[in-house]
This record gives sequence, C-alpha cells and structure tokens, in this order.
Amino acid sequence: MRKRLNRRAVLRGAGGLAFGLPFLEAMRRSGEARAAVSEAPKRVVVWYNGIGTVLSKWRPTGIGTSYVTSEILAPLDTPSLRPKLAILSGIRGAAAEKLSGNGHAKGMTSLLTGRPFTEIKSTNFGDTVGGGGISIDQLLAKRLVNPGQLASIEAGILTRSGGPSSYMSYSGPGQGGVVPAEPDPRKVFARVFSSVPTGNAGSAELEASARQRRSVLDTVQRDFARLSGKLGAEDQERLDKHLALIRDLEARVQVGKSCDVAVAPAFADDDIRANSRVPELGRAQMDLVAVALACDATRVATMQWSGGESPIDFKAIAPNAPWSELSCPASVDSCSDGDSNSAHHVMSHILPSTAGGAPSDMSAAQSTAMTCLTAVYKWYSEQLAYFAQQLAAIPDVDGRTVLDNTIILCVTEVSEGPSHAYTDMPFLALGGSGLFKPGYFDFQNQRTQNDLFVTVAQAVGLPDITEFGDPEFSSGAISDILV
Amino acid sequence: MAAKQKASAFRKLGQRLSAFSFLLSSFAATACTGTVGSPDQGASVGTAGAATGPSASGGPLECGSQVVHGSPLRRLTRQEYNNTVRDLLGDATRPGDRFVAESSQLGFTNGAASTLLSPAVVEDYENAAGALAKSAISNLPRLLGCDPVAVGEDACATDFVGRFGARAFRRPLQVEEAADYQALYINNKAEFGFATAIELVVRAFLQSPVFLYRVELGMPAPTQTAALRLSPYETASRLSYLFWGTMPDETLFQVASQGKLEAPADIRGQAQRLLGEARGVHALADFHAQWGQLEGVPSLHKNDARFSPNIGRLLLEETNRFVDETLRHGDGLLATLLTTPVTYLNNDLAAYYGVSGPSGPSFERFEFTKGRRAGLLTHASFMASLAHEAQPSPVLRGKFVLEQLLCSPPPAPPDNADTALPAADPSKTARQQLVELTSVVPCSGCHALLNPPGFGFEHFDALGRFRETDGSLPIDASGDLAGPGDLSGHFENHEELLRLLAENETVRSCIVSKWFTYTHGRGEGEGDACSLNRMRETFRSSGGNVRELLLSLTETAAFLYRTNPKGASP
Repeated sequence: MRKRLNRRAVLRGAGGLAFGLPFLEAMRRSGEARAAVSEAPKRVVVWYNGIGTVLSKWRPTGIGTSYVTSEILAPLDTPSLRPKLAILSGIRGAAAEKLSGNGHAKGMTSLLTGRPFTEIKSTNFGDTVGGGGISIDQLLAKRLVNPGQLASIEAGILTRSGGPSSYMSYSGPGQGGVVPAEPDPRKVFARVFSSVPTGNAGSAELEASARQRRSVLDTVQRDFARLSGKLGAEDQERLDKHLALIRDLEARVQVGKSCDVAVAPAFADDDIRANSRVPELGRAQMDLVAVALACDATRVATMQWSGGESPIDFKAIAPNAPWSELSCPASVDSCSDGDSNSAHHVMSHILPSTAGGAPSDMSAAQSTAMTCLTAVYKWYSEQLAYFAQQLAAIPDVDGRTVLDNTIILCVTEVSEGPSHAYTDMPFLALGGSGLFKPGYFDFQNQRTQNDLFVTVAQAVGLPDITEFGDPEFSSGAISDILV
Repeated sequence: MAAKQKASAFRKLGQRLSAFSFLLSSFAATACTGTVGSPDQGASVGTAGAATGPSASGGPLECGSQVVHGSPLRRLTRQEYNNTVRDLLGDATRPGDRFVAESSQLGFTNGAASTLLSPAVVEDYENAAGALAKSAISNLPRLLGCDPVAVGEDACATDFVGRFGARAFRRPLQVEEAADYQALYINNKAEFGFATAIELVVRAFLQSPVFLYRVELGMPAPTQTAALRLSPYETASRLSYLFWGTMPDETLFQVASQGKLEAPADIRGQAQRLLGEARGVHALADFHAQWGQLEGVPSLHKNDARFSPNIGRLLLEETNRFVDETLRHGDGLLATLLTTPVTYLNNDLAAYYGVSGPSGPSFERFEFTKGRRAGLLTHASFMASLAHEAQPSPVLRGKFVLEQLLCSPPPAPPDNADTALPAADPSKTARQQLVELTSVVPCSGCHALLNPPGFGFEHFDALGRFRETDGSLPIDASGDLAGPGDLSGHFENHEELLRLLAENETVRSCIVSKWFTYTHGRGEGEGDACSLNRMRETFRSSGGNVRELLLSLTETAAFLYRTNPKGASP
C-alpha cells in the first residue's frame, strides 16, 4: 500500500507561521521492506538550545496537570500540545558537576552521555574534545534502527566544528566518538532523500544499482582487511569503525530510498553560518527532521540550536525585546571563551541567578537582560511548538499522528548562564501520547538526566535499558512520568 | 605576587605534555610482496622497499632510540581531499567543501583526531566517489591513458588499474590489490559494459582506506626497533601533504621509485623544490589560517555595512598574500611577519582600511604610515575576529597572544568568578571598565597576564580599522608585560608590543611547537625532544627564519620515522 503524504496537510501544521518551504512531497514507500503495519514506530528527537533558561520565567506555578504555564513556556500551552507536554523541573546534570573547567564544555560533553567527559584537558595547545561515552541519542539510534534506515540524523543550526562545547552526540568516548550536527539543511536533505538509489525495492534499476555498490564496497572492504594487523591498536580501532560504517551503508543500499521529495531547501553557502538566517535555517531543519521521521527514514534525530556558549545574536530574531537598552554587553568584555559574536552568551552573563526566584535588587542592566533573555527562550518555545505542530499534522500508520509516536526531549547544557549550574536543569518532554505522563513535575534535584534518559528509552519500548551513563548517577527510570 | 604564581602555574601546565599512549599491537612491517605499475609510469616492478636506512652521518638516530613519539594514522582533510582529487582526476569541483567539518585538536583542524568518523562521513565519501567517477569516465581516453580499441579493453583496464591505482594509493599496488581491482572490473564488465566497469574501479579506489588515509607502515627493520624509517613513497606523501596539501607530483613519485628520496640531503632538496614552486604557498597560508583561527572571517557578524562576507574573503586573501610574500619570497623572518608595516591590498581593502592605496581590484604592495599597522596580528582579519560585534575585545586578543604566540593558554574563568558586567559608562573607556572589573580576586590572577597584551591592540576597532578614540576618550594602548615565561617590558602601543613579542625566545619556541603540531597532527611527546631541539636550534641560528624552520623540520626523526607497532616500547 502506498500512502502519499499530502503536502497541504503538512503545511497546514505551520500554525500560521507563514514561511512556505516548498518541499514536503513525501511518499511512504511500499513494498516488502516497509510492509504496512498497524503499530507505528516509536521515535525520539533530542532538542537542544543553548545556555539553559531564565528559571524564574520558565517555572510554571502549581504542580501536576493543573499547573499554570510560565511566560517562557506559554507558546506550548495550546489545547493540542498541553496534553502532550511534561515539564521536568529539578533534574540534576550530575555528571557535569564532577569536574572543573569551562562550564559549557562540561555541560555539553556530559549532557547526553551522562558521564563526566574524559578528554578535556588543558594541554600545551588548549582543550581537546571528548565525551565520556555513548550519548543517549546514539544509543537509541542503535537500538531503534531498522535495516536500510539511517540510524539517526543530527540537524544543527549555526553549529560548527571546534572544541568540546560544540558537540553533544557521541558514538563512544573521546574525540573519535564525536557525531557532529550538520548545520547545512542542504546536506541533511541529501542524507535523507538523495543518498540512496532511486527506484522501488525490487525494481531492476535499484537492483542493478545495489549490485554495483555492493561490488564496489566489497573491494573496499578487502583493502581494509589487508591493512588489518599492520597498524597500532588505536589506528586499527579507527579503521574498524570506518569499516563498520561501510557495512551499515551496504545495508542501506539493499533497501533503497524511503522517501521521494521534490525540492531541496535553497540556501547559499554564506547563509549556513549567517546569524540573520537562523529562523529560516531552523525552519528548514525542523521540516526536514519532521519529514524524515514521517516517512520512517530514521527514528532518532537531534535538533541542535548552536553549540554551547551560543553565539546567536537575537536582535534581528526577537526584535520586540528592548535590545537597544542593553548596551552593556557591547561595551565591555566578559570572560568569553573565544567567541567573538557571543550575543546570547555574553547576555546570559549579565543575568543574576534566578534559581531561587528573581532577586529584588536587580540593576537596570540585569532587568533588561532578563527581559531580553526571556524573549530569547520564549522564541525557542515557539520554534518547538512549530516543530511539534508539524509532526502533529502528519498522519501515522496507526491512525494517530507522528507526534503521538515521537518523544521530543528538550535539553540544555547548563540551567542558567551566570551560575553555569547543573541543578534545576530546565528539561521538557513533548509528544508521545500515552508514552509518558504530561504535567509539571519537580524532582527537587533528586533525579539525574541519566534517569530521565532511561525513562525515555523505556517509554519507546526498550525496557531492558535500566541504567545509562555513569552508574554512580543512574538509579533507574523515573516512575512518576512513566505510563 | 599572585600573578607570578599564576604565571608559573600556567607554565607548568603548558609544559605538561599530553600523553599519547600507543598500545602497540600486532606485527606489521611486512614487505610488499611485489608491485604492479608505478606512479611515474616508468619504474619497474619491485622498487618499493629497496631503500636503505638513514645515512650514517648527522642522521636523526644520533638522538637514541626514542626518536619519535607516536605517528597516528591521518585521514585526508577536506582541503587535502579536494586537492588530491584535483591532481588525481583533474576534477576541480571541490567535493570536500560539503563534507563533515573537522574538529579542532590542539588548536589545529588537521590533527589525526580532527577528522571525525560518523555515518555522514562515510556517506560523504561514497557520494563524492560516485560523482567523481561518473565525471571521470565522461572523458574516457584521458582517464585511461591507453586505447581500449588498439590494445584491447581488458589489457587497457589492467594497465589502468596499475597506473591509476599507484597514484590513488600514492605507491605502487601490491599484487593482491591489483588482482582485486581487476576482478571488480571483470565482474562488472559483462553486465554493465566497459565504461561502467572502469567507473566502478575508480569509485572503489576513492573509498579505499589506502586512498582516504595516509597509511604509513614504514620499512622492514632488522630488529624490533622503536621506530621504523618511512618508505620513500611514504616520505614523498609527507612532503607533498605538508608543503602542497595534496598527493605527490610526478617528480616525487619518480625520485621515490629511483631511491632518491632517502638521504636527508635528497629529502631536503625536494622540500626546497616544493616550497619554491607556486604551490608552496599552501603550507604557509594553511598554517596561518588555522593558527589564526581565520576560517570564519567571511561569516563574522558585524552589523556594519562596511563589513560583508566579500570583504571577509578579501581580508583572508590579504593575509595569505602577506604571509606568502613575507615568508616565501621575502626575508622569511618571524620578526618581519610580526612587525612590518607592509601589506597587500586592493581597492576595496584600501577603502576598508581608509587609506589611499591601490585603485584596482588586484592586490598590490602597500606600506602603512608609521604607527598604524605592524605585521600579521594587526591585519583586519585578525583584529576583526578577535572582537565582538561592535566592540573590540582586549580579552580575546590577550588570550590569542597567550595561547598562540606563547603556548600558555589561560584556564577557563573559575566557577566562582562573578562575570556580571557593569553598565556602559560614557565617562570611561572600555579598557578602564575592564581593568576595574578584572583587578579583583578571582579574576586578577589570569587577567594580569591576559589584559596587557590585549590592551596593546586598543587602536583597532571591532572591524579591525584603526581608531584614535574609544567613544570620545583617547586610546591607551600601553602596558607592561609580566610574563608568562621570560616575557617582560613596557610598551606604548602595538608596534612596541609586537617588537617585544617578535624578539622573545618563548615566542620563537612556541612557534616551533605550533609547526610541529601542524606538521604531525599530534602533540609533542617525550620521544620528540631531539626533533624539537633540532628545529629550535635551526630557528634560533637562522634568526627566526620560518623557511629554514620548515626545511629543517623535514630532516628530523619525527618526520622521517614512524613508531613501530611491534617495536620495543619506550
């Protein structure tokens, strides 16, 4: 059975944000490889925005399902999204607390790995990248992938290559484990839609193309085999990993393409790193992730809005905030770690800590920073609402929507800018109807991100995952939110 | 006092060498079992591996057995990939530009660990190989180098596999390799035809680990020595990737096959040739772009109509030309690089800098008036990078000097540092505000080192343009250096600051370390002392000549040897 994803249906999900990307012409593949099933696949999106939040503007009041939403989370308080939203307050980023060093680097490298990083060390030449082990998104990708699918896609916005603050996904420990987010929507498009042969499973064209690729990759694998045993252990490990990735590729080739999409996102090379294009880049990445999940090209994705120490300048993005009054970040320096345009990061340092509520004696600059940062995080909530609505507009194979079968897990590397604290991490879970309990929860820093990740893994059907990351911080699923 | 203690703590930190533990496993060093074809199309079978050990006199082994501290396997960077397929296939489409970006390792993006390995990377390689191979067979006669009609398709294919393979692998093919690639051709020819079979052969070569990685097995050694001498072909690749960022040229392949790339003098001679040819600009431009962290200059966010991505690209061009003219064609001295008022501008950049200079779009030599510009760091490419959107950043500039010129990176701000900022005050300069903010504990320790070199560049605004005032207040670009290391002295402005740095021994030593890391894709280790000493000695005795440093680098053990996976552990 072939089921066409209706373009208008998807664009209707845009919820009035008239942007009009011209592309969603997705078709679910038919054939044996994707036989119609009544049970829809379970999916996970890890959604990241930089530098925490403003806690006093983020926390709802009340508790449970009768909470009153906050200024920052208001865009998610719609009749359709509220029943699918869990606001997870008081999660502890325990792994990051173990070490000293740059607060954002500690947060980023440990955020999804649930382990203290192992390789950030001051050397003669500066920091070296490294996570402590596999990250939750990559573990879920390994477990949820079907033959022929992409295990995961990592979409970034203004993410860049660099040091330990830049990355959050790891296939294993150390720099060799980094799985970078792709900041170019054109490349995400190519990965999902055009990097496997055209044609339906079983067609002569696909068969011939697959046979050619197999014979090419077989030859390549023989070269790998010949090198085996001739190099040192570390080098051998790298080659083994490379070879394993080629074998994964071969598996994809045998199944063929899962979606056909008419139009690739259009950007110029300069756009990909341009602050002024952040809204459009974000929209394109969200749309691509949505359609990749919808047509089951992958079951795990990340949406990473910048690296740690976010350089995004929000003046043009959230124009209604009183930026012009916020003259201080432009006038003197902060202890900025190498970013020359760190508007969001610099601004986050002006804010006083609001973990115990907003202080009553804020300076004018601090008040302005709070207003501006609140606008920033509210903007992120709007993006999240848009993304969720996209997923909600696409029917899934079980008659529900793609959002109903997807858990969007929202994380960040510190709870607030000035404190760089890893307590009161402002996390969310959205979507996944019936997979977890909605409402406002406050775990009082008694639960860790490790526990939250175990919970998510179990919610998407992996009950054997009972601990994650550093065992010291992992005490099992959070039963309060498990259904 | 506190500052001094901090300084010495930094130094100790900096001197701690990163540990590269190489668990050395199974036996390697099997000799080629035979060779087929040859990159220079002239040499006979079986020449690889014929080379002997290093020359007895003045050889690098004088240092003892610990001659090299690790030689991790390196994959081609995106730039190296672009250049290599250009030279291998004549394809200038730069497919690597859209590959997964490298991460930084020890401040450079060409390190062994910089090239990441995720599913997207392998997909990139597959897609690029497919496109390159398809394009290559569109001109089959040029690709093949033989006439399938005249000599027969299979004979031509066999010939092609040997010749193309030797260039793709940067050494002659082993017999088994040639057999595998011929089998790939034969197995597909019947069903898909001659051209497609050749296309598949090219596709496979371009995804082979021997193509994508700079595989160095070394030459067989009579005993289990700690280090193995690289084969002549491996040496050829080290030379070509260092100086040109690409595969060896015909001459290098030829001298490698003829045994003329073994004696240190021969290797130095080739290094001299590569550096002298036009493509020799690569190493210098690439090193300084990485060292200066300039890649992002075109996409700097300045919110000022005078700056644009195009200006950013021109600024990079200025810096590249300047480095090339100064170090390759000029006196080659680090001191000149850091202090000269001379640069290279075109009309757009002259307008950007606010000087009356070249009137056309081509770059010309230009000398700034005294007191304005002094060398590389005062280029707008550097000054605009080391700045915020609208304001310059003394902290970023000071940090750059500590990190990149003195090899003493400051640690991150302590967790208990209050980094909240005071409101802008028109009665004070940004410098005065920063001094107030950072003169108290816990900021003062690091900022005593960070601030002075940063303040030296106060005359350059956020765009890297020269300024006389900060708001309505006069600029103060003076300072007193208080370390790290032997760095001290008073300066009135950037010219004097840069002269102090240019004459400083710690700076020279640091630049040697940076070149070492850039060249080898790894940090320094215990076994490298001899190689580093030799580089430092050359650099010192030549008066800080970067050209000489680069040539002497090719004579060191670290360049000529690799660790023996089966050798005695150090």
